[in-house]
Amino acid sequence: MRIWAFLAFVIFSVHPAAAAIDAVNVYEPRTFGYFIGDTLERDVEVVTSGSTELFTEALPRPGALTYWLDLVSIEQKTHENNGRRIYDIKLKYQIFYSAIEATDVEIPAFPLKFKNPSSVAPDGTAPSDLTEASKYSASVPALRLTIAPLRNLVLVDLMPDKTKELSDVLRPDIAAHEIATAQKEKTLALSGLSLLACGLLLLWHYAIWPFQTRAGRPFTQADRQIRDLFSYGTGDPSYREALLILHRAFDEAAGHRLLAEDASAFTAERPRFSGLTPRLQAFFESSRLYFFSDDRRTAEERFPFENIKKLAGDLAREERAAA
Amino acid sequence: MNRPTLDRQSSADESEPLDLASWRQHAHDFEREIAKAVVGQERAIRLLTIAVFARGHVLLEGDVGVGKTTLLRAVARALGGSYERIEGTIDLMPSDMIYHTFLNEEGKPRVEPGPVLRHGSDLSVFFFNEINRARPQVHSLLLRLMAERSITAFNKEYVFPNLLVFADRNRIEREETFELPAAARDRFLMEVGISTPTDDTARRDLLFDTKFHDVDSLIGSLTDSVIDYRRLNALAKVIQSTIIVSPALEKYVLDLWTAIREPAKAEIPVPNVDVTRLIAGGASPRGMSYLIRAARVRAWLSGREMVVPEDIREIFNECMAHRIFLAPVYELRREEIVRSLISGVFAKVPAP
Repeated sequence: MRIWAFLAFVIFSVHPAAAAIDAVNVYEPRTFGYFIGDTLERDVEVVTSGSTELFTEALPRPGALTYWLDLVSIEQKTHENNGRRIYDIKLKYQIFYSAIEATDVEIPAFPLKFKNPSSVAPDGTAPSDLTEASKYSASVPALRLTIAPLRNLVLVDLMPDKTKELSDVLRPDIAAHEIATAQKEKTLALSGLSLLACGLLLLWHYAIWPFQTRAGRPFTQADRQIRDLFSYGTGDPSYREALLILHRAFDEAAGHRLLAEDASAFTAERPRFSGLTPRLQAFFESSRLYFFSDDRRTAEERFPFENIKKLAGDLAREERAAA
Repeated sequence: MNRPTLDRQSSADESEPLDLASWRQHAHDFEREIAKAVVGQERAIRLLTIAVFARGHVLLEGDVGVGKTTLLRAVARALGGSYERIEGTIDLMPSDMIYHTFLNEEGKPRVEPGPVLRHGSDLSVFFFNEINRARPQVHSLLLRLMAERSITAFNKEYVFPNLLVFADRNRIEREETFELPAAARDRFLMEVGISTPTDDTARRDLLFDTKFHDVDSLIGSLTDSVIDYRRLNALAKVIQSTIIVSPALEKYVLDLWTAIREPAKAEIPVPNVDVTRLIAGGASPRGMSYLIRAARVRAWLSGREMVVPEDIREIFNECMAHRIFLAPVYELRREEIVRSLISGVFAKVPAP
């Protein structure tokens, strides 16, 4: 329980004063039973009236006050009540006095400073004596405290004959509780799986191994088909079929429909086929004759089936060599 | 700008048999002559030559000042025959093309034939400048003139057997212009886009060679009537009946036609476009028959006796792009979409 002391400098004016320090109330904590490191709080209430104001800037600042005492914080609030101004000041101290035995120490007093403290008495005369003068000034008084030393308890003192183990005397340690990891393990497994799936999707998207498809080999396939065709015979339908097979192979290799006029651009883009350019042109020329004029015989004479077969074989060989 | 009809001994010429090889030489001379006045437009010149020998009307389209009018004037000059030119304006009425009325020196009212009738059947080139500035009434008269090469005026039918209509329009302005009706656009064999030359030599010549600065004297310096325009109809018939279109090519063109009309079925990819809803109509049978006409002429100009897929590919855009009608939502991006549609079709349809 907090002891509160009433230390008053109550000024009862003879005449109602225009301005005055009406009261300084200090609410003190207990004055005994302190150890090193303890904190204590003092509440100071200052009541003024009229034009008198507490000069709050002059209150002590937090910090070391003496070698054994720190002012930890100081809070100050102001409110008005019935024309009086009330200042609530909360001082928080911490003690660092390392007492060897119980001893008294004193928190020093400090003065309060006021604006317009009406240092002149209401009747216009100067204060005649010290008591009278105190009506026009105030301070927070010193506080005496009793500080106790910390006691050192040694197991030997409690149990000089060592009949028990230390563990029997002390409470057992609190058993560490097991952290449930099943849920986390499940989440980890799920995350791992989704990461793997994402990785596979990405590989598929960029067509990287194992999703990398081997580049098509249209000429190799065409070569095989034409050789099959050749075994059936070299008549007109076979010849036509062979031309078409090779045309489709060119289309697939070029990525678009390749017409006779594009043949030179095709070989320019693929230098490996450039050795075959004259034969390619001959092929396209006779294909034109075959399909777009009514002169099929000339076409077959200029570029017979054997030539188609040979050209397809050479194209396939170059294609495989390029891969 | 009118020129008197050339006085030729036509009856003697017309009785001569038409030799396709020597006419091909004439056609190349014709191209070279135009190229003297118009530099850096070799492709446009080739397309116009194809149109002249296919007897088709041409619409030129492009920016302002790229040489559309100069090109058409050069073609008219090298072609010979009577030439008439009219400027499309918002207040031009069909009657202004047929006749004009005025008071003569004696103060009497006179009615004289207008630009279309002035030269009678000798008219070989009718050049309609800025066609999209004229009103739809004028377009419909032009439609008849192009489709039938005849008009009715003064209770009489006038026939222009050798007539070719050349028109141009610029793509910059849209205010106070009238879009050509689809039927009129379909009558043009080709719509040729003219752009600024990209070749450095051609650009330098155009800017710094003084002969290109005065268009009148430039056109005047060209040889007049390199080819005899009166024999072109007969020649065109011979070309069309001589150059072979094989069954394989017929199938190829039919496949192209189907793919253009139904790009979704043919799986033609067009970027950022729903191809199932892209085509609203068009690619008319008339358009496809014009395409074959022009392809035969190109084959003949290339010295071949057969039409090959390259002929079709080379002129397809100019002959067909303006006949493809897109869904309204795609109309603003028309040029880009139609170009990628056509190139997609050519990349997809197998030939042969």
